[in-house]
Amino acid sequence: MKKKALVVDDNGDNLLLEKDLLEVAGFEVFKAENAAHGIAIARKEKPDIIIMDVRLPDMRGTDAARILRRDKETRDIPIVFVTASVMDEGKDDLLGITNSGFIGKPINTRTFAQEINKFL
Amino acid sequence: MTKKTTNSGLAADLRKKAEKITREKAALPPGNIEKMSPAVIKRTLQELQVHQVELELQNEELLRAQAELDVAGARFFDFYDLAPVGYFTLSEKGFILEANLTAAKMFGVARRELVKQPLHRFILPADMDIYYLQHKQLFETISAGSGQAGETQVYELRMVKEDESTFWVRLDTIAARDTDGVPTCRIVMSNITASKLQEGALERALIELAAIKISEDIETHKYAEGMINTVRHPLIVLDQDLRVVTTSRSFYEFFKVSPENTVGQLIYDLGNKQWDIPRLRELLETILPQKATFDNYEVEHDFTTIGKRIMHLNARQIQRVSGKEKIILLAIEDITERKEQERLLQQSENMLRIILNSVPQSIFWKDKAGIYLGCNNVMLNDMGFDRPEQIIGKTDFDLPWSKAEAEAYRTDDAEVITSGKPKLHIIEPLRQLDGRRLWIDTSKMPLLDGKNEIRGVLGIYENITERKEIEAGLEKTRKELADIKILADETSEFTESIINTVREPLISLDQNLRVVNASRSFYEFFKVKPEDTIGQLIYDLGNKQWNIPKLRELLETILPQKATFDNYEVVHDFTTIGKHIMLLNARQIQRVSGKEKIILLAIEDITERKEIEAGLKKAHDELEELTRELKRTAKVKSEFLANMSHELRTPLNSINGFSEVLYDETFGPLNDKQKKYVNNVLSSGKHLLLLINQILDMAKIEAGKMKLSLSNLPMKCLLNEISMLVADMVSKKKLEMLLEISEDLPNIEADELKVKEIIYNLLSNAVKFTPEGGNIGMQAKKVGSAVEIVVWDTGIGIASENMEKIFEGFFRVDTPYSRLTEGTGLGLPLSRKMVEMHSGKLAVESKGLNKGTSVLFTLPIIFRGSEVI
Repeated sequence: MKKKALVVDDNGDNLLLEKDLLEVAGFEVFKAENAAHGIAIARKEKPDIIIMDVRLPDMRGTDAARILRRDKETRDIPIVFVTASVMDEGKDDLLGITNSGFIGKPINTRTFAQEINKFL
Repeated sequence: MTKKTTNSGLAADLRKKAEKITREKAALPPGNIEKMSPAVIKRTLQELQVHQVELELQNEELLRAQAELDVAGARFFDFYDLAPVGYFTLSEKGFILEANLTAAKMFGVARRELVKQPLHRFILPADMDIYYLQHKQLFETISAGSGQAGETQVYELRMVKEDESTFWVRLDTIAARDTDGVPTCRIVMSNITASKLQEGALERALIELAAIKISEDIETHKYAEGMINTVRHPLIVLDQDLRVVTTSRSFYEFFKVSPENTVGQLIYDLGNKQWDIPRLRELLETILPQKATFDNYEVEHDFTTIGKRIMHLNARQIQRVSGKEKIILLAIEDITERKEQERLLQQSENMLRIILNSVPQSIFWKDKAGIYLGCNNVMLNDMGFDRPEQIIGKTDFDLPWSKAEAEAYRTDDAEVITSGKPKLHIIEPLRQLDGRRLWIDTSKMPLLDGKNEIRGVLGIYENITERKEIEAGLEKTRKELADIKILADETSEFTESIINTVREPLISLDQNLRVVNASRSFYEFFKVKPEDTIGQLIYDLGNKQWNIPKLRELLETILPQKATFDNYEVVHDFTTIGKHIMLLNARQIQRVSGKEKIILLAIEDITERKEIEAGLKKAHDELEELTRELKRTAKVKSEFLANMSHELRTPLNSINGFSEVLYDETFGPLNDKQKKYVNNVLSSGKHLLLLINQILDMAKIEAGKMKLSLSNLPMKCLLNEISMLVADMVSKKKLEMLLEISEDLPNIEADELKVKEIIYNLLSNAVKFTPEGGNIGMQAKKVGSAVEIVVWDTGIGIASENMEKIFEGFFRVDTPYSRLTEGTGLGLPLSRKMVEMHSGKLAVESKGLNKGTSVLFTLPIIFRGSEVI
């Protein structure tokens, strides 16, 4: 059975790129363009991993992650933040989320799937 | 001693016995021993033999007694020397004949130095009288007396030790004649300093007790106090130690002190020592002990609480009825206001005189009876008189004019007095002392007193016939007068030369504030002429431009009190020379030749200095504002760069990501051209990403947000590792790379990623800017407490004019060997920043274009903080 991955990113191009790369690597990929939608899919599909942008239109990715962590159903899903914000102060916010990781943008397409796999 | 008496008694007895025996035998005629019977002789001999034995026995006893006496004597000498009192013998003339050890010790000298010294050498000069008197009396007791020991005299005085300390002694003295009949005196001296001190304390205690007694004596106390308080002037009662016993209510009111801080205090300590007035000390300590009373002793003092006061002190020293102490009554009369009024009156009189004498008209005033009461100098001159007495006290009939003229004047006077109205412009003749006739223009008005009652006539007249001539003459006289005055002053020439040598404007004024002299610089600075200046009132100078309130204050109020004044700042807007800020320095100087004073006034123009100061302050403020603005701008800039970097990364993610996926042919093969094009997109995207990353790093460093994560770096390995990264580029460009890494290169404490980035940047620059076939290299060694790394090449070098620009960012040497995509221009500045973050130094050297470049940088072995601003 294919592993399920949820990608949350408000930029359609990035969303498409990450979806393609993960599908090539053998994932069943779900997409969401905002946090609320992402949380809804996460609850419904219970993916094996969530790839989350930090700057989302409705809330910060970290806030969405906290909501997911409060829910018993989604509490243990690993979350990988993919963000273009590489300043140090942004990283502190990510450290508070359990079972999470970080990949800076732009992503390396040749190693992306491998990096994601490390969190599973 | 008793033993001795006994022995001598025995010896006397024996002598008596022997004499008796011989006397008995001497009943026979002397010289007739042969006539004596042998029996008698034999008996006598026998008796004498017995007596001889007795004598021998006695002698032996005497010898023993003598030995005992010697022992006792020695003991006595010990006692004599070690007695707790001083003991010495004096000759009639006062020389020390002998003394015991204690006496020598008391005087602080060796005994042998004491003998033959006059005793008065050791006596305190103040007590010398006591000694001489007592000593004289002492010897009178024996010369008048029986010839034996005189009367004992006891007295106390102060002695001075060899070390000049004084001590009190009691002398028990007795005079007697010694064995040779010479009068001497024996003195026992005891040190009584301690008891004297106690006595002093006792005396003070007694005085205090007496004071208490007095204060308890309510009736007299109340009487005295009542008296004190009814006196209008502040009054203060002092005891003989000058401590306040009581004061009047008015004293407290006037001097604003409270009784609890006053009574019992030393007068000088009152009001926080404000009363420590030299003149008061003089009165109380010098004058009063001699005179017992003193009236109207003028004292001027500046009290902190009530300001400057002039006082009349009236003091009485009174013997107290109840004891031998004295009390001092001190009445203080505040005459400050009276003095001020006197001064003002004097001033206004002076002013009036000045006015009277400075108007060009003749002025006179007469009483109702027509007697001249006064006139001004102009009138005197006009008339040909030289003393006011020649006019004052006289009537018109006593003066040189004719009877008809005199009567005409009197008629006018009477008219003015009866009508109370002035009579103006009476054109009339006036006869002078020498008989010459003038025409004058007279105005007469009633002379009023303080109650507005008419007391006489005030007249003013002007000579109209020879007005011009007189004016010219007057001016001439005045000038001559001024010249004479100046000439008469011996120092004038000297002062003038001083005045002219001083750089800053200087003027000297007489005591009426008229200009005596002015320096050349004064004329130059204030653009005035000497003829308009000399003899003028200072306020009138330059068309009354000098009538400056602050100057008036200085000259009229401050200078009379202080005689000297420095750096008095005055701002004034002169019509001729504009607004100036001046520092005035004034000195009031007593003239050598006379009693008048002159005032020297130096004017320092500080307008420019003030302007510069103001300008400096403004510039400083502006600079501060600019610094703040710059700091703010720098912060905004780095925030902007951080945001920009984020916003640029997002599209780059797509560009690089999709082109990479295409290039990798993940979703199907591309033809060669397609593959080449998509690779161009990818490498441009990657270059853009490098730029963004470096800009972001610069922004981070400048904003102080770049953090170092320190670790122990094995430098030898690290350098080799980085050189491997560029090895590919080096061989592609057919370059030679030379590594000289010192064997003992130590590990350093630094941020690994940043050190790698620095070295990579420098090595890749070396590769980029060196043409094919050239050489690049790296040297590393330990220098002191740092490692020194040099990255060099034989490439295109840097023109000297570009040496600074290479650190500015985005500067790249335009060269055929470097393509646009190959650098960002940020590598070197960023590397230097990162070196500096480690407190290292980075420097670039090049001998010029095409002569290669070498970059030298250091990194401390032990990290000791960042040096990036």
